[in-house]
Amino acid sequence: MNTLFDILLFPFRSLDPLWGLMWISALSGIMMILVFKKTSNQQAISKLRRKMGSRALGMLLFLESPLTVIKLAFSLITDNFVYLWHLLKPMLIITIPFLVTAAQLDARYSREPLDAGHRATVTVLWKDSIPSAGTASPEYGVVISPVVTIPDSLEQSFSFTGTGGLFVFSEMGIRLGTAGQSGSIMVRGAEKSGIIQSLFRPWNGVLEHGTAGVRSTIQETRYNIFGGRWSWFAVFLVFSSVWAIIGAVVFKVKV
Amino acid sequence: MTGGLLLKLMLIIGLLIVPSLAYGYIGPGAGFGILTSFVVFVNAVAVSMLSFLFWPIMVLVRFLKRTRRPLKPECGKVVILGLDGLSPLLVEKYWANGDLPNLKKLADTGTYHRMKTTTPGVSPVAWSSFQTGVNPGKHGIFDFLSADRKRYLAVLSSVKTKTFQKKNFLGIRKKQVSSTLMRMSKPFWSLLGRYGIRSTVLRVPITYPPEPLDGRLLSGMCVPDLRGTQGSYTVMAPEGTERSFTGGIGRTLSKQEKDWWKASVPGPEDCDPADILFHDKGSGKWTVLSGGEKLKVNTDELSEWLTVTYMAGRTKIRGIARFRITEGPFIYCTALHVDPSSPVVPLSHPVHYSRYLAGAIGQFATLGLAEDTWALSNGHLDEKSFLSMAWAYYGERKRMFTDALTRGKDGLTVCVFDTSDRIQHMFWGSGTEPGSVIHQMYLEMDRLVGDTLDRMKNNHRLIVLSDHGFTSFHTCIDFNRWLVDNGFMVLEDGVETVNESFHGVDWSKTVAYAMGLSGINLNIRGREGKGIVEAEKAETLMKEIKDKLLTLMDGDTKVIRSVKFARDIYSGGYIDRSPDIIPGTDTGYRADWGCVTGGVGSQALYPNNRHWNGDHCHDSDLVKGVLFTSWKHRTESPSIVDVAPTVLSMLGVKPPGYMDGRTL
Repeated sequence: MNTLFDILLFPFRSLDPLWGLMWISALSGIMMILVFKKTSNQQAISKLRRKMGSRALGMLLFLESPLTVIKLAFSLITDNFVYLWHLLKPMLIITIPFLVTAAQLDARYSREPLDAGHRATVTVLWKDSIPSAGTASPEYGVVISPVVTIPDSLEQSFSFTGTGGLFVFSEMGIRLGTAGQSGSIMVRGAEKSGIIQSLFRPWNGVLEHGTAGVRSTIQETRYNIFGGRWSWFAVFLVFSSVWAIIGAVVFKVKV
Repeated sequence: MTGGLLLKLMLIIGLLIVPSLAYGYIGPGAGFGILTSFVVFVNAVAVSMLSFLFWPIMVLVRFLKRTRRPLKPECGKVVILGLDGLSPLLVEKYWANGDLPNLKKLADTGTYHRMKTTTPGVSPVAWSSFQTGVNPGKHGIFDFLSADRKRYLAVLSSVKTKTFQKKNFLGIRKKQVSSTLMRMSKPFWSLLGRYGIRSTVLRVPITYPPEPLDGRLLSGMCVPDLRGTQGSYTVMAPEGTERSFTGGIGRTLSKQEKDWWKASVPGPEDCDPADILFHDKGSGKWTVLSGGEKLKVNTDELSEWLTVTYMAGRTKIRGIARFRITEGPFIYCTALHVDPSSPVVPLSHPVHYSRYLAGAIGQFATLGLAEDTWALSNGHLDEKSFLSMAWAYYGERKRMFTDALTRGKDGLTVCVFDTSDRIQHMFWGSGTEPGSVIHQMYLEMDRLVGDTLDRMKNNHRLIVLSDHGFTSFHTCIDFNRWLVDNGFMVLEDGVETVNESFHGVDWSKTVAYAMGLSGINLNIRGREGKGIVEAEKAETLMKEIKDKLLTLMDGDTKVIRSVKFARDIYSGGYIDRSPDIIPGTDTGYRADWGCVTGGVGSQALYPNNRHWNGDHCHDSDLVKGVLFTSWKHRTESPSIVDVAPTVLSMLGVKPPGYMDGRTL
């Protein structure tokens, strides 16, 4: 999956991350609307929509009779549940590729690059005992606060900034960030996980010997769009929706 | 457990097991769906609450605005069930066999009469008199067709269509079409509206284009199809079908790759034909595709409705059609009905009433004469398919009637069913004995009456009526040939017969011409385009034609039962639209197909070999309709013009003085 997304984002590696994010959003919007078309009962949705539209028109047509309007409103709400039932199958089918895509985008576009000026905190969980590391300097990045050790829970934490997009502290078994270009996966922690879990956590790094887990609090990226500061998810939501609407019109999908 | 349900459950379980990112948005498609459904929910609750809150205010406003009813209403609601062409002779015959229990019950608890119809007893005339309570001289409809006297052309009597150029806001000229209802006077539901009494009027003939009323109206007879005709179907076959014929057109079906076939079906003028694809899936199963729409159909069965879209510039024009595929393949496509959920011409008042109905009961036939009698006559549909079409349309009508009965609590509900008329036209020749198609149809109409009675409350009144009865049609009378044979019409030198529109008639020597189903016009100077008859000589001429018509014999059988003059039987301001002479033919005889539109054949009398073998365009005394009322009244020989004043009185409105009918 990582490779697939690396290929998809290859043309955008030297551009601003926003371009890559918009490209994937557009692609997702179109793909998901096509999946929706394929997996949903389009005829039933179309028929039901017409029926629901009719109920709504009926409410306007029979305004003089509140009882009729209430009956129609009740039917409309009942139809609404039927409509949601029709959405269930495509929604469930779309869930998996959607979550995989969202996880990939989260790993690639959600965090600020680990460079000087972007301060973050890391917590290392040791497996058996806390080694006497922490005195040496990291290979990439700078530790900017003293290492705080909690012996009872085998935890150590400190603040740092990266260098060239990376923070690497081999002695503590930490490798965070990315040295890749725009749209590459940024490692922001390391936990033990299986194949399925790793599918939904591409940002998960490799656990070094002796460590039980590495967690970081790297600052979230905000994208400047239309004067606002948008999260990656907002960008994805809006742009995928816009492209889905376009796709729905072009491919005549009944939603 | 179905596969789909199993899949859904497995996916739910899977998602619960797999820990993952939890977002309240699963893809754009479903995301929109959930958002829409939320909006729908909120709106439904809001509108119903607002309706409930504002109802007292609306009632008060209506109460203050309306004119007080001059009479005390006798009932809360009147329901009128129109069964086009239901014959009193057959009703009484079936009663003798113990059939039609619901009509019998209605007759026993209320009143039953044979009802006098209009002259002529044809639907446009009779239903116009029904809705206005006046004779044809006051509403101006005398036949299906009326004469364009200047050009000697037969035109639709009830609708005048004009095409004109209109500039839009950008200054671009665009073609516009406007239709005007030519039926004059006021329908009684318009009068009810003045007193705040709401009406629901469904498919009453001669209500197109729909007129505003306090209530809801769906137009009936004379609603055109997308080609602007009164019903033009399409047949598609692999070779040699590019031609026009009466009632339809032929198109070539071209073979595509594998088992696909394609045909281009013409629609509205100025629009490119729509491509329709047919996929033979084997074992008698087919898929029909047009635009983004598709449906499945089995061989020899009439399909459901398919939406066919045409483009007029950037405007979409939507029609609906049904298909029937037989061996060959040979494909029949109904006329392109105007899509009621997206009507290109107004089908209803208010305009969204047809949209409401399309959603509530599904797509439905909108064409005025929906049952394709021409396709059966031309052999492009067999009897079974025609009947399945007729009953499908009946089912649609019944659903909309039931909806109207359920929703409209008071006021007036009128619905006309024309299945009874079409089936009698096409199956009269097969007999009317028990077990026949016509007998089955009467039984179904009786069940409809029973269902309606079940929905009636104590303060409701029911009227069941037909606009005319039915008799056989075994012999055609070519009135124009008769006029030629008797020296009233002269053809140009060398012309023996005329196909249509009087091409080849020598108007400088012609004193009379027949047009429409039941009318002979004099060629009056100053009135007709090439008129030669002086007005003062008209009387003598009419008497001469009458005398000769009354002597017309078919062997030993008299053909013409009566001859009436328009000025004697009609009164009112629109009498000039009427033909001058109205011959009333005897049972079995009717105007020939050609002379209706200005044709002149080779024989005045000849056998009718068409499938259309039952009719009612005869002397109106032979084709009386039925009138059932759920209350008892003592009026003898009621007439169709009596219905309007009766309903008005019943709902507390004084019938206006210009109405010709009496209150029953």
